Amino acid sequence: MNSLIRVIKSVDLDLKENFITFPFYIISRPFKGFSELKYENRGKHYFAYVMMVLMCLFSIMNELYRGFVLSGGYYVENKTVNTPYVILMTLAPVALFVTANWCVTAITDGNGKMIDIFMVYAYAAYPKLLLSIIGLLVSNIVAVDEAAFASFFYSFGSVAFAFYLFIGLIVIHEYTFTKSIIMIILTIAAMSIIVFVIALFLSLSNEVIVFLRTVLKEVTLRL
Amino acid sequence: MKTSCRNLMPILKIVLSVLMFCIMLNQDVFASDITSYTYYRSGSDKNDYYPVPAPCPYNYVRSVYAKDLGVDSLFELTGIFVSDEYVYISSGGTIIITDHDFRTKHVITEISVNGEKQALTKINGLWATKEGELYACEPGKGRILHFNSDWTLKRILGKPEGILLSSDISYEPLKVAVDSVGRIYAAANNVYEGLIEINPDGTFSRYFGVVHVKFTAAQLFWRSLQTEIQRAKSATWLPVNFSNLTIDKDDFVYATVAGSGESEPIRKLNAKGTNILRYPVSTGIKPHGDLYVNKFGAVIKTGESTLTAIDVNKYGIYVVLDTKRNRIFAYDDDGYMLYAFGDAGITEGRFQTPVDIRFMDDDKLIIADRGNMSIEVYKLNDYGSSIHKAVMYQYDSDYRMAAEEWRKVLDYNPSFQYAYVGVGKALYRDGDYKSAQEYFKKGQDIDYYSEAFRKNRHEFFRDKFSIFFAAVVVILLIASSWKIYCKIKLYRSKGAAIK
Repeated sequence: MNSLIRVIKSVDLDLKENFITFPFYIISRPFKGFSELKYENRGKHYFAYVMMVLMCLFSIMNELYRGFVLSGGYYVENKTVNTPYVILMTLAPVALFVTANWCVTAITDGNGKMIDIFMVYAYAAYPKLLLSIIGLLVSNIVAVDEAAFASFFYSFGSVAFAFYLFIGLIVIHEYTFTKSIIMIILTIAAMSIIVFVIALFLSLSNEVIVFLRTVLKEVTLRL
Repeated sequence: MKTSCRNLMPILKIVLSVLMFCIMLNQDVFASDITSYTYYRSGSDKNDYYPVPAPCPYNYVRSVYAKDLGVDSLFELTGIFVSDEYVYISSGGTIIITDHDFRTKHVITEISVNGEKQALTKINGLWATKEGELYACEPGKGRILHFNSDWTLKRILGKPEGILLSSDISYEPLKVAVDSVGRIYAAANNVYEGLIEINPDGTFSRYFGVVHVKFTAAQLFWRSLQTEIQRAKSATWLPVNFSNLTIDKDDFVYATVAGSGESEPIRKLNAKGTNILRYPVSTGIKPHGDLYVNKFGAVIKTGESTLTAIDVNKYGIYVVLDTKRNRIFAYDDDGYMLYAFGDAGITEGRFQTPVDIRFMDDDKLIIADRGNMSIEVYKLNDYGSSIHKAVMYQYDSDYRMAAEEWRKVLDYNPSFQYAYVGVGKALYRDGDYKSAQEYFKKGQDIDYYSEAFRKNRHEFFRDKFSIFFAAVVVILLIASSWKIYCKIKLYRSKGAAIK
């Protein structure tokens, strides 16, 4: 019990500092911000986990409430959203990127740990989340020729995300610029390899399962 | 008590059976059991269109066989044409002229050229002008025959001077159309430059509406790797021929291109020869038959529709015939699909080898089916005539009447998206922007939706402006008073510290 209280007390629950001040500090001074994240422990692990939850929530909201104009003119009464699928499609890229980047940097003298990469991802996704929320709100009050205003927020968010992710990775791995670019290319390659291996595994295991099932059926028929 | 009940039973039975009979009668009146469908958008992707069953707009009326027309056979049926008075049918070496009830009026089997009689060879496309003069293509002899209104030969239009073909390739005009001033348009085999436009006096005018050759980057890349000899041996890239054509009341040429996968298989050509066919900009889908097709398969038909016949009525509805799947598609003037029906088969509503299609009167559609050796007659039922009337009113910009018809259409078929847009347009004109917005949303039309939405947004902000203004003032007041309060507090604490 005492240890649990200690753990709870050890969690720094300064929400304003962790969810507003520091992320915005990173947005305004990315290099300084990310180095403070790594060397002065200013970033909090729970921020990253909360970010994942928020991203999932936002993806679901985005599916449900995106304006008629921005969803390509598709409308259906009683819209259903496949929530597990949406959550998977939000979290899978995170897992994939973090794993692939860790795999690549671990063998090319990168100094970042896996948790660092994950934190960088979460902090880089923060401006994207904010901009996308604005985009989602705006998408409900625009007509078709103003749709660019809403999609601007979405695409600007993606650009900002890529920008901050890149800077964050440079800082935590302590790479030079050219080496970082090579690292990014290798990461993309590693991601494709992982996806390929997963697809291969799934299809092969499917064959095995079908084979076993057929054998079982044959055996039961003969008995 | 029990006995009285028993006495009532026969009466009840009779009443019930009469009721059942009435219900059955009713069903017979408004819809046929021919399979038909419209496309429904169900996905945010641009290509998420799926066919949904719809009532068939046509009822089967009759099949006209050779014996009804008093000719030997119709097994070489190639084309039909409907004028205000007559129906012209070409089958092998005969042209059969009947009235709209298919009572034969005249049969042409031979022509006299310079006093000597010539039997006609296979006649293909037909066209009759307003004055009743008949044009007929005779591809075997490379000529277009022009008959007077009493069906005697007027002149023969051979291969026009100016069409360059090598000596081993023959000129074969297949389909012909003539506009109101007598210019002749022909689609011919082996002519890849487009339609042939012939002046009223029979001289060659120009090529019209050129179909350009399409190739992909990959094809170009592989071709660049080939040697000269390989290139000579591989198939040449030729543009696709026009397969059929017709002319509407405003002298615009409607033509179909049979090449599968052509991006614009239906063309409406203006005097310059450019394609001006309208299509819904909000979806960007050009009319091209089936939207959802099998791409792979061994025993099933694969690929886009092959359109080989077209006809247009006086308020801009055009029907096209897909000979790949024996289907008929109808579009309105704006390029929205109205209905599709037909399939391969021998029961009613199915065709074996359809070759040509024409509107007849205001409410009939006739299809020449070579495989069945017959002319199939279909008549619009309540559902179909509502669609046609709605489009007609829309064509005349009478949106209120059109909306009434569209509502009837929606009663029959609630998944007909274009009908919602039609109702929405009328509501928008009447200033009921809220309902209009809902209808446009159901019809999934972004552009009209945006128009209605803009009006609603404007109204909303105008009504709620005072509230917004008051809220802003209140917030400003609270914020400034809070700042003043903080300053006073600070000042006091400072004062206390000094003391």
